[in-house]
Amino acid sequence: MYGLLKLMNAGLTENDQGSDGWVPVVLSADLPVAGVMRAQIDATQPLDLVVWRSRSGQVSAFDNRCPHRGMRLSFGFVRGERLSCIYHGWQYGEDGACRHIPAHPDMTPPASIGANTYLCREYDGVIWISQNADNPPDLPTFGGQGLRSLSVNRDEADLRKLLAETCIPLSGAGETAPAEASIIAENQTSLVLESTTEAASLQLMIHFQKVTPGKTMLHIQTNPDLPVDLRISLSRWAERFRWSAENMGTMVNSWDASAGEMRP
Amino acid sequence: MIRDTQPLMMNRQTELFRFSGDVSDPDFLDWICHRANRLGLNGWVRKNAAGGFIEALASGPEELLDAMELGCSLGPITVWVETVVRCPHDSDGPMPNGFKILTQAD
Amino acid sequence: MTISDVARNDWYPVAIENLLIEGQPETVVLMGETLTILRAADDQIKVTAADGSECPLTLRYGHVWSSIGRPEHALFDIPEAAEEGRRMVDCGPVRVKASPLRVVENFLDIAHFPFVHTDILGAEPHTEVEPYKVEIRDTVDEVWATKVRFFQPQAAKSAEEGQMTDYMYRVPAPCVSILYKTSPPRPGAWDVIGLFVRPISEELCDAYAWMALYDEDSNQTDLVQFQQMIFLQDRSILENQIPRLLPLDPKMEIPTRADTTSVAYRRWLKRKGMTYGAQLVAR
Repeated sequence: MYGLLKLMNAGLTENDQGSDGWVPVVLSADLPVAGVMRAQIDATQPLDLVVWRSRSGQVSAFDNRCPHRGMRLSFGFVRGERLSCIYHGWQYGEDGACRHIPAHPDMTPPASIGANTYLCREYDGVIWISQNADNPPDLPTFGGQGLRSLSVNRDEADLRKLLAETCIPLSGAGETAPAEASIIAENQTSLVLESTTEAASLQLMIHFQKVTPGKTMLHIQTNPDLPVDLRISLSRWAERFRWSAENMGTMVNSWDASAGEMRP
Repeated sequence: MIRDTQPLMMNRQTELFRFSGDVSDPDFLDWICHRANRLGLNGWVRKNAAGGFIEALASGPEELLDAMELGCSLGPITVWVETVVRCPHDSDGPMPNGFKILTQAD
Repeated sequence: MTISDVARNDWYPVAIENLLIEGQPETVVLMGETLTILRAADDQIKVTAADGSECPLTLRYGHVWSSIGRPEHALFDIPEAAEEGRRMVDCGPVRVKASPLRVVENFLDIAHFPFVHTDILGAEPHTEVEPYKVEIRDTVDEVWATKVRFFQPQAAKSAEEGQMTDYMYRVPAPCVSILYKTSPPRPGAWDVIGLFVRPISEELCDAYAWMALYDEDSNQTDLVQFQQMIFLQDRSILENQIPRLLPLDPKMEIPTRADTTSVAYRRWLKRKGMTYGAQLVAR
């Protein structure tokens, strides 16, 4: 099955999150070339980062604060292999070092002027940040396709419990009822939900990003090459899941066969 | 990490800075040292007790010496820098890398 | 928090004079205190505090100025406002979620023109900021920047190419910044653009832009909208700068020679003891 064996063998359970580990911040597909975005991580101290992709495709992450006068770098723009701050145009390379100060164009900035950087790695369709440059742990492999990311006002621990009890659609046309899902693999950063009936089988890989206390970003991947209408169904499932997680305590959706409808 | 190499030697100037005013807070020396390192300047800073001022020797591109003057003219909240005087200084040889605090005995 | 005397005993804009309608009070907040401005039946304008006591009052430059303390000085002078042939433009307040001191500092800065006001006040590759002159004029206790020159892409509607434009900047009060710009229709004269800021709290303020121009052609709405557009571009920056308060200790920043006016402004605030809206220890 897609990557399932790889998953089991790749040390998925060995990841150690917290300030030493990897945190997923965006699906690769959602950070195009020259893309710039903000990522907040609730780590041992709250982090506010800018994540960006250069023209050549390289991803980098800095503290979201320009060393010049404190402007948020996530408002900046990418030119070539550099991120420019929107305020005075100071340019930074992928290593964080300042390369050009427009107000003093003839001066080469010293290497000591630069943005604070974080280890940033793109792996298996997800972009990850780590604060520990020395011994970053292995990342999980799924071989999936990015579906979407979703911000939920709920703690990660609650979300994991709710995901264990959810049902996910297996077809786009709604002909079959959503099937109960179970968690078939789980570690500190991610889990894999599988839903199986006689007719079909599906896996979702969900990566967790603690944004602030009580707010979690879910980055969701599916098996590759699913039909578009199923992808749309899954996207809607994600929204319903978010709604119930934010509004209904620990109650979960289930399919009421006799009534032919979704019931809380 | 690969970073830019040091700025071209030909662009480097060396100047002696004198900071006068209410500059007695000992933290100011650390502050100046931090600023100089941030700007990649080479040199030193020390208290001139007899003169009642702080003096620093800094070497680097002119724009960064200007930035040194600007930053240090504000400094931490505990000091008031009334004047900054700068004059070119012929160094005896190449400056050692880095910026440090000299004690009066150095 | 305790508001320092220097902040308390100063003049701040609270209303635009000709927008006050007789019998219809307006309320604003100045450093946490609610003030009511009323044009009475006899056309007299009064400003009262929450406890009903009367506040100091000055009417100048099209604005009503008041205080939560007792200013011992008169409001600053802008002689150009009295000159024949100038038109005065009140642009109205714009709320900014930032320190009033940050708003003033941004107004003094030119290096951002090519990036924030692209193709209007500046354009790449003309990004260099040449050295200019900055002084604290002790006789009047004001910060002045002169001999400021910057490349402007289109100085006037009639201009086809860009040109170097001359500027002067003046800070006559902690929450006021005045820009002087060479006037295209009248070479040798200065157009005056003022930014009068009223602190609501240390991290929230209303900024009133005002102009005294030589311009017979543009209509009032166009002038106001142009100024508003520029200021809204600045607001996007101001509301996303860290910290919100203006640091008086630049340890976490790297001011360069282009920031000379900003540093002089901060030194001047420090000497005055103007701490409202300021961060004293760098973080």
